[in-house]
Amino acid sequence: MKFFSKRSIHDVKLNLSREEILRRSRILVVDDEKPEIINDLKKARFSVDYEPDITKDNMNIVDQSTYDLVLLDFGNVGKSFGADEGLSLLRYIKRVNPAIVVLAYTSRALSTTHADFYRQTDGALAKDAGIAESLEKIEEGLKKAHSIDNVWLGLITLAGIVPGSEEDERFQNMLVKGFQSKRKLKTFKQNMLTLLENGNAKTIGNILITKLIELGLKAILGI
Amino acid sequence: MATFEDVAALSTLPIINLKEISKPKDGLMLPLCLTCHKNFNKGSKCKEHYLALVKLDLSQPKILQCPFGFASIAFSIDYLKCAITGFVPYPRLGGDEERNQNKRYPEAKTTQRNLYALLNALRQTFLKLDKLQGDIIKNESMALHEIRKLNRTIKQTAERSYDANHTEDLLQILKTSELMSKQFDVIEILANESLVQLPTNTVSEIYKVFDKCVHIYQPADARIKLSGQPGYYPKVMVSDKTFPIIATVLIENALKYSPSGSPIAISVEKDGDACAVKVSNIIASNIKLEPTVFNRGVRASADIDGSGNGLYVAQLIAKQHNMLISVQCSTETNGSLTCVFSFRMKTI
Repeated sequence: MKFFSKRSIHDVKLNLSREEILRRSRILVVDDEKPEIINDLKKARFSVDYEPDITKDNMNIVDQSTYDLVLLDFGNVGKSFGADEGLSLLRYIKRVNPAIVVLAYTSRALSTTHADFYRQTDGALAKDAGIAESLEKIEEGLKKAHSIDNVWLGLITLAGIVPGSEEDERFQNMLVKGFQSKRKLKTFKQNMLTLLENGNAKTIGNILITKLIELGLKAILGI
Repeated sequence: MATFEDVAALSTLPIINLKEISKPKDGLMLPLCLTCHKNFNKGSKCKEHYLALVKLDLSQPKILQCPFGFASIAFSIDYLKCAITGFVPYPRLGGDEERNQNKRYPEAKTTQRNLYALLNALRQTFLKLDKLQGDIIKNESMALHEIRKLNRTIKQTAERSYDANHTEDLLQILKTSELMSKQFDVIEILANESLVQLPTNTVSEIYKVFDKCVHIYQPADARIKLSGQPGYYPKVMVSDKTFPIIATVLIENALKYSPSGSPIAISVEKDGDACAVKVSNIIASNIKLEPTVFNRGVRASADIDGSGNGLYVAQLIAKQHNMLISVQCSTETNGSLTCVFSFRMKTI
């Protein structure tokens, strides 16, 4: 039976419908100038919030991991996280929750040092992208955010496990086997949580584990 | 981004790039001596000497003697690692070989004080050059950024209006704005070529990339025909910021250089574990399509408008994706000249 032969998380494929992706997703736009595309996203039934910047005062919205996708500008944002503006903020977001999909929302030809902004984001949306193009890119990003592969990668990054390592494979095996038994699933969760540092990492880790289990069960058992 | 070549062009003494060890370059005041030329070609001792320099702590430059009695001093500037080489230092480091070289090449003698002054000058000049280039990129980038925002307003307004009222005029405005975006993408790469170092980490459907681009030019130019194989939807790993530019450049060139009304054929076909993309069209006989068309600023025809940078950018992006675009011309039976731009890309 195919179900029992599954050992790798990458074999557990899930295709969420557009409706389901819309229902599950929350988007955050961080840009010093409020882009009009926000209204178009809302019209297309996306759940979108807007912040002109993330500072030490409102960083809890990143820490709580409420968002699946962040549309992030480079200039004039994130200065309270470092001199590299959007790149400093991006590093913070990815450190808190590596599973959040971040799209670079800028058209600046960034310098060599700042080109990491494009390297570390999950994709780029040009400042002059049209409405249809923007919706398409964001939808693709959300699909990625709710993919099992992405959530898994985020979780192991948070836990300090090297992708492709023996430990990665061991945990994948444990989780996939866990989809058959509640007891094994509990063992997986306990073992994974011991790898996560206390505090926010544990909270985010818990969120990602819950999401993984939900997506995995949906993929395998359709529940 | 300033390069080793920029530093080498200013060095008065011979200089070598320690990141890619090959024969040192002549200095402005002192060319590489004959002995160094011969020894570098002859054996591995020179290379071993340079490899030993790489291992040194470059934050504090130190003079090291080579097995043939010359000396080198390694240093780093930002991400560059180089060494001034082929000189005889004063005060001397010692040894018979050094004494012999000093007699043979008195012009290679240099005081250690001058040496450190040269290092300092090179370092300062490099940093100024790098900052200057950074400023140029920043300013060009800011201008482009603002223009793009204006273009966004035009595009999105046209898009919203078109949704409410399907008129040909609105569609034309929308397509023109999309064409402008495509041109801005090319300009952005020219302004900052380091963008082609971005990783190819996005899964993309190659047919879709070309199809989207074709739609921007159609219906204004309905002579483009894109074809694929039924059921074949190849996926490739790309940088989604740069890869679509290849489609833009090849289609734009095909439209520009082919006679009005003549067909343009684009095909996406399976070729083993890769997919082959071909863009073919008829061109006038006076258009010269040699491999040099991929060089910066080379124009295929003086009669047709163009900066000569499109194919240069496309080839840079192709290399970023571990492939090359090639061009072939052939004469058809009816005497017309057909050119085909093609590339082959590994699928996933």
